[in-house]
Amino acid sequence: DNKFEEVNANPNNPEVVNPELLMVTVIRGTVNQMVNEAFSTGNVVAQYATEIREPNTDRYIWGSFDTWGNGYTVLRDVNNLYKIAEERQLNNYKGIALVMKSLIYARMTDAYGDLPYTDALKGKEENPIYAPAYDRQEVIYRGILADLVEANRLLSATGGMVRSDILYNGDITRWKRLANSLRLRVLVRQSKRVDPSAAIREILADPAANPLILTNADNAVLRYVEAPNLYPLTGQRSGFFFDRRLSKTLADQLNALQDPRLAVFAQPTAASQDAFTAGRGPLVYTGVRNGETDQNLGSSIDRTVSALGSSYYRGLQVAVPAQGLIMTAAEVQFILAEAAQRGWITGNASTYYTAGIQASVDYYRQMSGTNISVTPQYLAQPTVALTADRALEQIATQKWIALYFNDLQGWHEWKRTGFPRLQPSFVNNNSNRIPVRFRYPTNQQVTNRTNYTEAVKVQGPDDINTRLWWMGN
Amino acid sequence: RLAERPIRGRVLNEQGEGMPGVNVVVEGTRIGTLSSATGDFSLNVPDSASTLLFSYIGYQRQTVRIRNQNVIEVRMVADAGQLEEVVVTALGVTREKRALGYAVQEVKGDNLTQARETNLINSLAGKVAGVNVTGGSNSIGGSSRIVIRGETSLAGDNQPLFVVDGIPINNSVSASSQRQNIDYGNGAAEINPDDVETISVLKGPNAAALYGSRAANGVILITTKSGKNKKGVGVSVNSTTSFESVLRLPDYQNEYGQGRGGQYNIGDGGRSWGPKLDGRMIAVPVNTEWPPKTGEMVPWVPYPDNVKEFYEVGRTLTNNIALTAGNDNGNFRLSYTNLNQTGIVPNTDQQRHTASITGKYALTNKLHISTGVNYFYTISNNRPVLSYGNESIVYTWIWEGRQVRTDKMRDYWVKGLEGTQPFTYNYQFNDNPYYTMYENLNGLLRNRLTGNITATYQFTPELSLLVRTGMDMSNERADRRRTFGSNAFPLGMYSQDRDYFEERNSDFLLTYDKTLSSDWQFKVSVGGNQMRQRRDELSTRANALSVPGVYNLGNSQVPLVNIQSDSRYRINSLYSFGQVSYKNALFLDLTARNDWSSTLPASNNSYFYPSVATSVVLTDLFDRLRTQTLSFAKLRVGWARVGNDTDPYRLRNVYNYNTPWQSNQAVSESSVINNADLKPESVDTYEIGTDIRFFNNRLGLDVTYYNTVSRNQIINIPLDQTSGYTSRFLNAGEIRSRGLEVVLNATPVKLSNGFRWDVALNWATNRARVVELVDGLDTYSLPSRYVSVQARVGGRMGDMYGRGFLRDPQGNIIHADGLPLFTNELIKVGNYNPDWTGGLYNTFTFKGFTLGGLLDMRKGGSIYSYMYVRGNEAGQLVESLPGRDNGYVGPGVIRNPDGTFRPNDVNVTAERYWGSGFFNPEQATFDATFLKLRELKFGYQVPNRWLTRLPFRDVNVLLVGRNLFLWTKVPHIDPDTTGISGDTLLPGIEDMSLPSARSLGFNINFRL
Repeated sequence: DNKFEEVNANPNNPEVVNPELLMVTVIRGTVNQMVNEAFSTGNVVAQYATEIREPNTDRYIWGSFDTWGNGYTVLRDVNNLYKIAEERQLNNYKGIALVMKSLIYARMTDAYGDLPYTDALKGKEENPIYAPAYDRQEVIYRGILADLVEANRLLSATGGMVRSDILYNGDITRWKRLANSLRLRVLVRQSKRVDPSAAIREILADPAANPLILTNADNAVLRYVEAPNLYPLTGQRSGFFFDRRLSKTLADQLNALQDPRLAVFAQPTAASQDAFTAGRGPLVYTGVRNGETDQNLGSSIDRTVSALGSSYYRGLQVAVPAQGLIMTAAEVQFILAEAAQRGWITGNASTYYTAGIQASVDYYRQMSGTNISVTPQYLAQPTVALTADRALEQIATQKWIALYFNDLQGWHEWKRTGFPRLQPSFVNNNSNRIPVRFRYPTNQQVTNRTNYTEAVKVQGPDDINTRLWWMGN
Repeated sequence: RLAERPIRGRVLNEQGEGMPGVNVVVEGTRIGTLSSATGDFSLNVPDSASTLLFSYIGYQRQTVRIRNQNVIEVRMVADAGQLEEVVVTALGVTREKRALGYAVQEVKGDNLTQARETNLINSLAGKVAGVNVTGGSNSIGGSSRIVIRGETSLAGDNQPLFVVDGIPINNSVSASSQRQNIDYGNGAAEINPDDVETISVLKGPNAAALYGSRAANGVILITTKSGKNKKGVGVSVNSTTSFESVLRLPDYQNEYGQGRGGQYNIGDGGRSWGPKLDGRMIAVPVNTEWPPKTGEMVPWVPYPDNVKEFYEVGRTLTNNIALTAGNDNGNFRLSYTNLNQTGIVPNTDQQRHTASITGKYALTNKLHISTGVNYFYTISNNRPVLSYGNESIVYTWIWEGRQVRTDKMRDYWVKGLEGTQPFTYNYQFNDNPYYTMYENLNGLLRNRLTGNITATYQFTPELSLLVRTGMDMSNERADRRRTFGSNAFPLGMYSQDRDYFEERNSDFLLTYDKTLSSDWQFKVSVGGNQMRQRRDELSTRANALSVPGVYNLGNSQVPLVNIQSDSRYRINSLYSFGQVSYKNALFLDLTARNDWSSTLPASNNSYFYPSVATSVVLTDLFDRLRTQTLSFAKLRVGWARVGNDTDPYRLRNVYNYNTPWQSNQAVSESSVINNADLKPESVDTYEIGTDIRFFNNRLGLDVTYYNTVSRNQIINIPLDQTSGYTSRFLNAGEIRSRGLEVVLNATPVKLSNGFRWDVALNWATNRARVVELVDGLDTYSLPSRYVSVQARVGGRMGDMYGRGFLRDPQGNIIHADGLPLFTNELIKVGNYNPDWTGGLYNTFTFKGFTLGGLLDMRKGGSIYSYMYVRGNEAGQLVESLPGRDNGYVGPGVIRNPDGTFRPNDVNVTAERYWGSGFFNPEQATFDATFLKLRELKFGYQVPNRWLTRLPFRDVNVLLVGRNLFLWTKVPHIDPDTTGISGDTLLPGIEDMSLPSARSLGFNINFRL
């Protein structure tokens, strides 16, 4: 009955769309999640921040977190973007889809380890796979690296116009920079397992074909606009934001260095602000131990402990300058510094290292509008100036500072390098170990039980202490 | 040829009025006729005829010797034993209950209008076996959930179909799910009890087969009052005034105040882990300044009644006036009801005006026209926000400390910041509850019209045609207004939801009714129906306002968020049913129906389903069975199948709209894989029952056993998210539901002085099990919150899963670092379906006095209490007290390195123990058994002889109460509640439900 088919044709939604309609979904969907997770989990476990109320994250009472759910949800549309682009032979959209795919899978595997990858996202194929098998992390890493090479190849001036590109406004070269920079990140991350030197050298050998993010202007950061596309934290009540405070670990480190970025990362304590206003003392930045006991937190924390920076929150739905960080020039410089230091490439580690610090401070000056800068004195401090025997720790520590509020990257780098030397939360429920991975979502035991069981057998127990493949033995 | 002679006459009812439609038959022949609208009849009888038989449903059969009379007048007498046995069945056909091969139970309108509920569904609680009514969120004007014979559908809401005067009406839940829910009520809630003559509950598919797809969960058939059998003009008035108060509040602790770590702090989220409330002087913000002045000292003492003081006495006024008139050719009834209610939550209300007119007229002897129109106008100035979140006042009271003074919060604006900054005890998360209720309003305006027009034409005494069309149309507008200064919307908010719904049903029914002989009767009908449904929803929201206090979409500070959803749905049907009866004691019913639904793919959209039912009245068929003891015995057996379709737009995948980024539109593909090959579902039911009466009908027992199997359900099975999609539609699953229903009616005492004690007992049990899902899937998740409701193969419908305690082999809870450990995997923590339900109605009457009481009992079943979880985490409830001063050592064990266990000896603070997630789903799920004194009435019927000088007649005065008493072991809450998510009620979940209300009042009704 034709009439019936007419009655049952959905009048509300389209069945076919142009690729640009998926761009906002894919980019915003990923970066918002990175910001939210940086705030709620990444900053806490990497001890930039601590939790002062219901401190489940700091106590390592961890659920499975939504990296997984968000990742596969956005990947559905990344996949659609790729397919539509392929059908219509639009190479640049294809390349962007591959960059986003790589970014998302890397986020997920760095948090969970083994994942459904090869068989994933095939629920609507002709031969559908409803319960995909897990792949080992090394397989996923190989796939990511191949996709990034392919993305760099596809992205080109002749690959067609890209619209609704809220990250780079259609600038394809910058997408190439992100593709290659991500490739560097991934190569270094797995360097305990696979020697990255040849690949890194190959990238650096041809800067025209393999451009990198080397200046803040090319940073992969999402610049939020007006409501309803404000920085994700603005959707939260003030109590939610002030529940996270400056961690003692970061406060001590930056106070010792007299690091100018502290003024952006955190706010002076309320008590010191009052005193400062009254001309009775300096602005003071004080942190709280991660996992501090309730008794020690007491009732005066509002006055005596620093909140996170006002660049990140100024009230519900009030615009702030903070941006969604994917990858910045500072991180690339620190990667190159480490590569030089380890002899993977030729070049001066110190030059890259100083450029990294410079790029990071510059970035925070531009972002926050605070007048901060790197002084020669800062660089000359014995803890900062690169010394051969401590260089790797120094690079890693500066990289850790530069990765503030950047996804879960600070935590992953700590897992890889062991730097900075973090102490487990003061009170914790994980036998005094800092977690190294997320649990798989509990629904894996329901909707994908066989493959889940197999994955646990291969990778190790599904708990927060099971080491990832790239962490080495 | 035999000689004939004409005989004419008139059939009268007990009031002496002409009685239409009475069957007049010459005994031993097929010669017969029906009495006309005026009760007159005429027919030619053979000379040999000696006796005329007069029969009418619900009346004793009259036998009249003809002798030499040419004019016969006969008076029909209602059959006392039979009168209540006439029930309205599918398609509005009135039938003798004895003829039915399936269970039908009826509730008379009088039972709804005295101790009344503002939601009609709640009036059915405890009154019908196998009908399980669960109160919703207790919101004023809110929804209730009704399930008949347990849950057989995985995907549907398991709600029955509501039919008023032959026209299906909409019973969907109207709720706003923007951020936190607001419950605007289920459709059937609005039906006006004053206009209800009877409610027939058709429990199984057998009874309901003729209503097709949507009747798979049973049918609630409502017949409205008419002016039938009333000569002249009559006026009746019914007035109820009742007062509602909180039935139960949580058990709060009153020893420790707001704060954490034993110290007071206003900025801590309102946890009550602060200092002991020992009267010390402490600096807290108690005045109305901003920022709060922290210097002022007040005595640190508890205010144990601070929550109780907040709730008010609600008031419900219901007034009905009805006018009836009739003559030999027709009748009409006009009724107006005014419901005016204020809630127990401050500044909540509901007003409902219902006007109803029904009429019937015999245009000619053969053509009758009738119509019924009901108009509903519902308006609320404000309804409360539900669920967990800071727009809900139940939430607010969890996070306000025990030292909070309610009276200090009444004047809620901060001086000098009126309109933008309210005063509260906790600025980071909580709003002042008075501010919430008086400033942040959720209004509703609903216009609704239901009605039908029916014409019947009697071609011959045997052949008649009914043609009918009817509709249910509603237009609803819900506004949410948020002033500046709330935690959720510091810059205000305004949203407007518009919901237009219409369903039109047109049908015809051709009936051939033939008395073959005095022993054999035969009736067959053929009919058809077309259902057209349309729903248009539009929701627009301004998430921040430019000017405070102006609630207009033009006043938005940010881009408006729009959501539009239109849907169309159509079903065409043809059906036929037939009955054969022998000696009015042996009955056989057959039905057949075919549906064509727009929601299924063209290749599968036609589906057929039959039913068969038999009834044997043993005591009539075999006279010797009838004894002094046994007055009546009947056996019934039936089988039925009902097909079912699905919701619109489930065949092809689409993209959904996301929030745009400036001018860049964004979409994402739906995460549900639709299916272009769906097939109709089917539900098969067998039922067997008996109806036995003893001692001259003083004791009656009705027992039914049924077995329902639903197959090929169209379900949205969850997929592993890594497939890229979260679920897909397919046909799968088999649910087997069995149950037993017992209805017992007795008159234990009946004295000659007029004293009488009547007992009505309803009891039912049901077990619905999941027999099969789909290959490779043994678990299907149903909508829920906090716990996971899962249909697992071999499990029971309603099983609730969640994380539990990790235990040693002896069952002791394993602790680590002083805290209990939880299981990683989900364990079964309960089942929300009761083991059995029962209602016991006792009525005592004596010389015009009536005392009646309904006890409603639900045995077993589980409820998860989110109040328990968060209230204890907040340190507000009594469970959180142990260990406050010296720390707490949780009862349980610690795992030794060698795998053995030793008793836990780690002392942690109470705040850490109770306040950091001790309360898992296992701990927070309770046996929901409860007993409620649902209804109590004490009335007096003023003798008319006292009123001879007054215009009043039949004056009845009653004291009435509802939900007067609750007995349960569940802490803190009334377990008779559900959560709500979108427009779905979530059974088994208490999600910051508002307290339920006890109602006490009086009713007066009389005629003029």
